[in-house]
Amino acid sequence: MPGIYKLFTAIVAIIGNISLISTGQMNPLFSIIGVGLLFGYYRSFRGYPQLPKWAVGVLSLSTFIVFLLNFYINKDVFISVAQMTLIFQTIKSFDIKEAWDPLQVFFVSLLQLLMASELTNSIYFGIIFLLFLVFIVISILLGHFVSEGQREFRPFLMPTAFIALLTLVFTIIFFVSIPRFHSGLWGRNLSRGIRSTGFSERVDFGSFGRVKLDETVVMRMVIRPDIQGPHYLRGMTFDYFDGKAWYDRIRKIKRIFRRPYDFNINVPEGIRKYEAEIYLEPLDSDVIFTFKKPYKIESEGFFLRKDSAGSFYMKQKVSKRFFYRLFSVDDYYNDNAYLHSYLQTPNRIAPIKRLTEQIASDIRGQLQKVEAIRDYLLKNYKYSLFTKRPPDGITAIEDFLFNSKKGYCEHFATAMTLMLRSIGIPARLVTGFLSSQKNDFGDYYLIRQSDAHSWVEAFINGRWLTFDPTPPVIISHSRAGILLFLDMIKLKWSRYVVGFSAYDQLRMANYIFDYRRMAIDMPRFPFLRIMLFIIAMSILLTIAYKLKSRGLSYARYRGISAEYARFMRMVSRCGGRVLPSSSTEEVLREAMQTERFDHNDVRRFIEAYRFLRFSGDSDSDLLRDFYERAKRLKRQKRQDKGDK
Amino acid sequence: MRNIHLKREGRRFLIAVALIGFASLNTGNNLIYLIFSMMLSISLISFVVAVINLRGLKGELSFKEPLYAETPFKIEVRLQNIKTFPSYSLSVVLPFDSGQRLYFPIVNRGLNRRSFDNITVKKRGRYSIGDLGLMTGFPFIFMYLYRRLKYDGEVIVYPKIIDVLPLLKDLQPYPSDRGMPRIGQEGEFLFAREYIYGEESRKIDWKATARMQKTMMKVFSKSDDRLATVILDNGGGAEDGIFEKAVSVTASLCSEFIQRDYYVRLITCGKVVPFGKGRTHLFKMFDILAGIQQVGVGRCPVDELTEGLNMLVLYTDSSGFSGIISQCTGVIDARDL
Repeated sequence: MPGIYKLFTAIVAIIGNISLISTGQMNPLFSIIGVGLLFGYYRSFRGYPQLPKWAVGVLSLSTFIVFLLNFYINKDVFISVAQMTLIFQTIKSFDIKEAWDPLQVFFVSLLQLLMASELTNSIYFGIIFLLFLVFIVISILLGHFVSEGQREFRPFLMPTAFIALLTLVFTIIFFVSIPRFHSGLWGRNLSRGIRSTGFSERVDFGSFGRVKLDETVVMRMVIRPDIQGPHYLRGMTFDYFDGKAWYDRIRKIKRIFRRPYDFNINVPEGIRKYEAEIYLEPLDSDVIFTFKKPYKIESEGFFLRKDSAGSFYMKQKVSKRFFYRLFSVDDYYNDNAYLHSYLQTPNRIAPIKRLTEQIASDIRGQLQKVEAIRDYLLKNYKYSLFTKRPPDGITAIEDFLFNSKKGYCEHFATAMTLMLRSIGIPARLVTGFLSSQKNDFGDYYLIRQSDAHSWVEAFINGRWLTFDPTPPVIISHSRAGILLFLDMIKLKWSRYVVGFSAYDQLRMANYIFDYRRMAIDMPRFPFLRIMLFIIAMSILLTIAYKLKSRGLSYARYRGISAEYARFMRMVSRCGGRVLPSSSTEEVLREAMQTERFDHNDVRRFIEAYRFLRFSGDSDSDLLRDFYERAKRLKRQKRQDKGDK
Repeated sequence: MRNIHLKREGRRFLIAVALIGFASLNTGNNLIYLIFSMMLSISLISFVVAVINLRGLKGELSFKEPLYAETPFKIEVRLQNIKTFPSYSLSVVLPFDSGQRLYFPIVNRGLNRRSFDNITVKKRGRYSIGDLGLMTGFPFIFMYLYRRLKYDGEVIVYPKIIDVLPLLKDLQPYPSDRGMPRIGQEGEFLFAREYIYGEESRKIDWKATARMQKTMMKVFSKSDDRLATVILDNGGGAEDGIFEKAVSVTASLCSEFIQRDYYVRLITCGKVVPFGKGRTHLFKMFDILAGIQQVGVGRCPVDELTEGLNMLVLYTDSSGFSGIISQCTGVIDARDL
């Protein structure tokens, strides 16, 4: 087996193993065993003897036993199989003997890639996939030539590169054109969601502190028109506080079935509307984040769910990125159902009530009272993520209000909610995110775990108004350009590959068949632009390849004539009297007289031309000689010019 | 006409494509759709590139010498590529029983010549050039695409020639240069043979011409004329292997006698090649022998055996020529070889 074929087999095997290891879901021990294939292939390259058949058999059996044990321990057949393939690749690296062996490696690598696709949605998978595509195509091509007994592969570099490129182009075409269904039939995606806080029916007080230190990106948002932030992305509301945790006790959820791709809630007139595209990372929650009052949500799926407080939920938690388009208005909810639930207070409310009354006793009007309480908190309390445990006998919220006077959003929002409730104003705690960082590369907002936020909604004059009592803090996020650029790439990957859907196909089809729009401007879809770029590049490369082939294809009639005409021009420029009607004999004589060209070259060139042009036969060797002479004559002409 | 032959790898690959297609549908995972797209793409390219690879090609075979069964020969293949780009990894499939492939790693635009040595054909016979095919598995390893070239004509593979001198050594009279059989008086009419272009018309044997439906010439005896009749009994139903041996021995006898400047006649059940000499005559007999088949068992009447050597080649007990065995100079049983 040629060394180059072994090398590519090794590369494909390594890519297969990396695809699984990079998901981060492989046991480290199996990952280390997987790395062992490097040693196996090294031995193979050095020509060391491969493992005997019995040893391969014993190791394979042991692998199967390990698989059974592994399955027994972690109860996950998928992960167990994935880990078994890591061991198998390593064993196989010590057993590359026959022509069929590399093919086994290719199939196992394909299986690994397939399993990795279920374990991750990361852009790294995209890079691995791209490498896999290129190397598998090259390897199978090499496999073909090896099976035909070839040992010299240099002449096939060009077609190999061309076919790899062609495969990539066709892969993209197939990818966008294979019909999509809204979701799988009964499969499951094993990629893990990000652990979040604040979006379940019970939220422990103080739990936000942990996530506020986490820089993981949970959401990316493009907003049109680009209103200056920060933007409050509303998640869930909570009505019940027992002094230790918030609960959503009402949770009256109803389903909203879609009309084609939208959920029409209420379309008001004359109020500012704005639109946002949101790419939500897989969270351990089913909440959909919205602005103040959405009137339309476009997404996949047959229905969404909405609760009485205007929070939206997916059909179920998803383990892949979720894309939706949100249409909102600057308006407030005016739903007055369950108002009594928003007046609930914990047992020890008296001190809080006293404080609230001190602040708001002289103020008339509910709105003014609420604003006064918010301003009081903003002025007199400090933002800090580092809070101490309250002394015994005092609740955390009392400690915040009366002792430490330091806390983070959860403290402020809880305090204000309880303060409002204590004086009879219905209020609720809202959890969500507050956008803070904009990525100028993709013109979108990056929303991280650390942007998790809670604020207050108070029912005033028949409307639920939003108040944020937390003092503004400057959060420094990583602003390295390269990181933001990479994040933009990740977003595109997420949107146009991982999140590509039937909805996108429909939009693309609509776009493509809308000829008027096509005539006016360039595609709006970056993805379509990329597609067009790839297609254009492929056409250009094909043309370049053809032109190069023409240069090499010596039997081409026009090529010969063109060379001869070029030579005639050269002779003419060198002072020879050459006319279009000159015979080959005359051209030969004139060329000789110029004394610029080697006589032997000129004679052989003209003779070859006569034969190739007029004999009706073509001879590859003679053609090659003809073109070689033509090159030499050109060189002689140039040299002559240089000498002068 | 194109044929596709899926290899084992190709069948497995298609099964994998189907499974991954189902998995993508099942999970709705776009990353599996991506892998599925790659595999569809590889499948499509595998077929399309192979089709393009076989396009715009013309092939010719050139033989430098007559072809004999089981005897190595040299062949020159000329492939003309009229496409603007090269074809890769092509095989020319020879039209013989063995289906041998002659491999071309690259077929550049224009004429590509390549010679191949030590080609052998197992069986004699007439092979249609129309069966000459081009085959490619390029670019991948999943299938072979086969295309037959549209040509008329045939290649004749003659029977294997063996050394028959040991068989002739015991014959009486011994067919050596000395002690040759006497053939009539000098100038006496001996037999009629086929007309050769340019011969004098006054020696045409009109009676024989009418009988044979082709122009025949009278041959008159000379003092050094020698005659040999080789009779192949193809009227029996024996195993192919033994029959092939009989045909091979017959062809070898004809060749041996022609080399010794005999007038040689070939008689088989159903076909007769009249007396003649020289290389052209030899290949007339070889043409008959190249395509000869066993016919139904029965008598094969022979009018009379002329003077000279009469060699009968048998391969069964029930010879159709049993009536003339006693008149033969020698009888060779192919089963004994």
